[in-house]
Amino acid sequence: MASEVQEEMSVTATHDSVLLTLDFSPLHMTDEEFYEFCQRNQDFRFEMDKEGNLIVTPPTFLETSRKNTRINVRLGAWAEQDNTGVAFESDGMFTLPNGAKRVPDAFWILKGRYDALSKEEREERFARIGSRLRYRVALKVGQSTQTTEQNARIHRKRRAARVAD
Amino acid sequence: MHEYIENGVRLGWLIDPYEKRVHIYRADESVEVLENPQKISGEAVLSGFELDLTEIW
Repeated sequence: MASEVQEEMSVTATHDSVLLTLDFSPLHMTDEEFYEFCQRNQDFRFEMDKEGNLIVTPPTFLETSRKNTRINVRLGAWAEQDNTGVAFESDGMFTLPNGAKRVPDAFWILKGRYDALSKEEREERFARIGSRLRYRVALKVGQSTQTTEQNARIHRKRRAARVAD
Repeated sequence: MHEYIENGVRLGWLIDPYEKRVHIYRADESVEVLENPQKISGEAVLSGFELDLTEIW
């Protein structure tokens, strides 16, 4: 006897990129496994939302990368001279208090907050930026979602076979 | 971006180089949209930091 399982995948198209949201929750990956997965697929950028959906972004176009670098260079130079905080660039993945794993294009936190993390915490696969940290700036470069985004939802029905015993 | 704010970020910038627009997300949950700004300030959060956006547009 077969039952139908509804799969939903979300595809968001913008000017020059396609963003995929996939329901990854059935996979129950540990942080280590997810890190391994990201390492093996380095051409893509991944994030995970708090529900366990995997968000996949293709590699950035050259122009976007150039702009990103500009911002990171400026932020980094200021951070060094200002010396009150620590800047992170666009491949740092952070675990937010709500469990989501995010990759901001640029990030800066107060030095005291960063120093408060233990060595282990800092070297964790996806540093846990917890509630006792107050991080300062998250930066995203890219298409604003309000005006020009097109959304497509793809529904697929899949038959799941159940073996009668 | 709202998620960042809900999770403790004090200041967030969403920079749209296509529309030349910056969305400023603040800790009080407000969002300010700037059209074609020349620069944005780090305000009290990144005191003394100014991002020159003409390099980005």
